[in-house]
Amino acid sequence: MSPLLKEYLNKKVVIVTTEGQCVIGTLEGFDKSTNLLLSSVYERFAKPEDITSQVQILRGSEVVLCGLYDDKADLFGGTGGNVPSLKDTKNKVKDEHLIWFKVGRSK
Amino acid sequence: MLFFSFFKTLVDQEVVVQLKNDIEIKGTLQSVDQFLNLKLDNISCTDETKYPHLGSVRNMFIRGSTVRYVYLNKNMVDKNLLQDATRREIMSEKK
Amino acid sequence: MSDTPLDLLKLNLDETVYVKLRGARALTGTLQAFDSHCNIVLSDAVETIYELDGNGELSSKEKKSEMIFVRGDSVTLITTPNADE
Repeated sequence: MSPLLKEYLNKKVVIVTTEGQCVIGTLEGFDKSTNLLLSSVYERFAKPEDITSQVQILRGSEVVLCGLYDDKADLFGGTGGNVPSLKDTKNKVKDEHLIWFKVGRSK
Repeated sequence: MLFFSFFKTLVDQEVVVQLKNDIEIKGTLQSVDQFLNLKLDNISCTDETKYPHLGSVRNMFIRGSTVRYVYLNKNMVDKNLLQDATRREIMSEKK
Repeated sequence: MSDTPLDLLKLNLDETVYVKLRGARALTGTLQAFDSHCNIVLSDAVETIYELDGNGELSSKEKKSEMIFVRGDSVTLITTPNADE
């Protein structure tokens, strides 16, 4: 149903996951819950030949975004990943109940 | 279906999407589906030096479930139309 | 038919509401739209992000936006601003 990913088929894509991982792979297939079938997957800042898996299915619920990758415009590819890692999407705030308690009291 | 229709009216407009992992992405809304998955074109990450991960990406698909906010401009939205559509939507869901 | 919570929220359209969100965030703004998933559109919204500093003292940051869509799964509470004060 979701034809949004159709034009990325058989192209290189950058995937960010809910765990904060970032990989590059070729999009071989997808379904309506954004489950992705990827091939030649490697870490975002690794060299393209350092493939971590030939074929991989990524569950839709783990996908944050899927962007069309342009290797020519990439200034950071293959640099080994000396960059800050991404956050996960859980974004758990420490002592959130305590914060709300203090917010309530300060009013 | 209300917000699916709402986002369809915003196609070709420039929006800023804030994801639940705190990344903010500015881009032109290209398309949307029933899950409120978004496709953005002409992307610029608002803090690209901090997150170079998307540096070479100009067009992307965002899974709706990972969106926290979408920032819009006032002139993109007809408030009266939106409020009426909300009333109708709530009515129709009761049946 | 009895009124559902969302029927009552309809009465707050075009009025100021206070929305509590996951991750120690809150929004105040004029309610423009919502649906049964609690997806919301607010105009003239002010977002407040709360934090505890090293000494456990409460601090907050504010961010204004003229129109904002909020995805429902982050929303934990919607009320009128006075009710929370």
